[in-house]
Amino acid sequence: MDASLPDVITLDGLRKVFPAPGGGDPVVALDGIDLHLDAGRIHGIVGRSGAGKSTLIRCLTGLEKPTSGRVEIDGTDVAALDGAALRGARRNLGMVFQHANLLDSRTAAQNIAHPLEIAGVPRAQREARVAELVELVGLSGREHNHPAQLSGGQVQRVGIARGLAAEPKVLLCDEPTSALDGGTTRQILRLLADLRERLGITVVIITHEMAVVREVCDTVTLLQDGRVTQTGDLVDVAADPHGPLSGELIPLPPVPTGVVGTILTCDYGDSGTLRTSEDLVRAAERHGAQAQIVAGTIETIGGRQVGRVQLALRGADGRPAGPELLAALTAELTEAGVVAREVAA
Amino acid sequence: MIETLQEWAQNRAFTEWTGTGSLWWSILVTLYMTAGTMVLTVLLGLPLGVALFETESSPRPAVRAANRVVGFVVNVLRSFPFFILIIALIPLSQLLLGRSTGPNAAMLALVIASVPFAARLFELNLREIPAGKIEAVQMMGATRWQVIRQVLIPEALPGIIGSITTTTIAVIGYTAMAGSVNSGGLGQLAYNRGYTGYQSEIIVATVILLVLIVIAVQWIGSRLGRAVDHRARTA
Repeated sequence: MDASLPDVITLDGLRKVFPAPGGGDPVVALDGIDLHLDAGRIHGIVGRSGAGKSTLIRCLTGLEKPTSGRVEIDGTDVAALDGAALRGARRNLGMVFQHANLLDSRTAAQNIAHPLEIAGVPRAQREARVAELVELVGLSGREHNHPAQLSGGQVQRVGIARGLAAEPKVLLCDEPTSALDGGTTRQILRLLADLRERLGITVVIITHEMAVVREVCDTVTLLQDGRVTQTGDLVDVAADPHGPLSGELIPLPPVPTGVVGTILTCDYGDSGTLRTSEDLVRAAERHGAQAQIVAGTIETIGGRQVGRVQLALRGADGRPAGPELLAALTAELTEAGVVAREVAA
Repeated sequence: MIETLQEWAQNRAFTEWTGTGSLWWSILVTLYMTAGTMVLTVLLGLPLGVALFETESSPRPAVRAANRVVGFVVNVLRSFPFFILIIALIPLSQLLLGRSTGPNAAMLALVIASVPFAARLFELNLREIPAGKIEAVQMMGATRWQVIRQVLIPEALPGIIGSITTTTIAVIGYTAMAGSVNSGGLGQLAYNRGYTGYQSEIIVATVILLVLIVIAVQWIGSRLGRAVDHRARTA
């Protein structure tokens, strides 16, 4: 991680407790979140529904007041603001929504201009900025259409352009692709990555889709039951076989059937010496075993190969590898930082 | 048959141009009462509808209490049968306007009846706007007034036009009832000359005219509503 990048979002002991609807125990939606998101990168925040993602967004935008803790955006504690100061601070944060939430009564261009109108930007400047944004998100020719006349992907492009209009420090995207098909999802994610390159903006993507995180995020944070259970650079998180996210970021295909041999699952990527699946096979062969890769998921993230493979191991006699061989190999692999475990037959 | 029609055509209601006995004059009086009532209804009812919508879940208990009180008054006025209301308001129009007959006195009762009716319809129109759209604009740093002007009214406009159309048609019906307190207009003509005076041709003519006016209002309302509706057609 580049230590020179300043934090643009800092959450400090953020708690949000809702009174119980029926007068029972209060609901703890956010239970002490500490998080630092640095500028100019794409941050993914993942979690199942009910993990606290929506509450986190509402606290970031000041729609919800935290029970305790700080929500700092670009140095301002949003949680402490009210009225005009809060409205001013909100302009530092562009929002992109799952269903775009465009106004039907406005054309694409008028929707994009809306944050500028609210900020009191003069008409001529507004029009120039809208023309620029239309170009930037690839909507040329469609700017005078109403949202109902646009495709889902085009609607989300308008939503992104609108989020960027007031030149916010942070673009906060709430499930930006969950309502889109696969091809459109990739286009929108590429657009977000491209915007980060060209504008240097910080992007926060809140999603339940691991594919989105794998595709564009630099860092990933896992929310579970209102707590951060894992956070860090995508490479480190994916490579950390002990963390809860690596399994979801690098899912393993089903255990193969009809293979002769003892099946050993190996998570590598955290290892300094065994860097590729070939290294694992060679390590097994040094122990006199015949090793075959029977299943695996291998990804190269940030130029580094991380993966999880299953090896079918047989002894020199061609029979499934015995316990001694397995113990020796597992010891070596563990020594090298690979997490290896036998799959019960 | 022809002779009957010719005989009907001689009726003073059709041959005279002015006075409460003239059909043509009565049309103008009905249109005047309806239009005047509707202008006041939109001017008063739309802010009331917006206020009911905006204050319903206010964080301040005093505002919520005010919402409940106003909501109760609106419900009471809406449940009044118009015929009773117009009689009950005779003293008030005496006090405010100095008289209890004529189109202006009738309009007082018409406005008091139609404002709560329209305000509830407007409130429903606003409720149909997805909350996410309102929040999206709040997150841009919009003030409450900007949200009302730039989101609530324009997004609900197709529905609001529909509500104005529905209210207008109800008001046309009410103006006919107002004829019973000598408001003038088609209702009074039909009652005084047609019903009490046994001139069935006047009843026939006023019914046809009222039907035509209602059809015209509905047609204009539907056209306008469609013209401002940019939502996706879900057909």
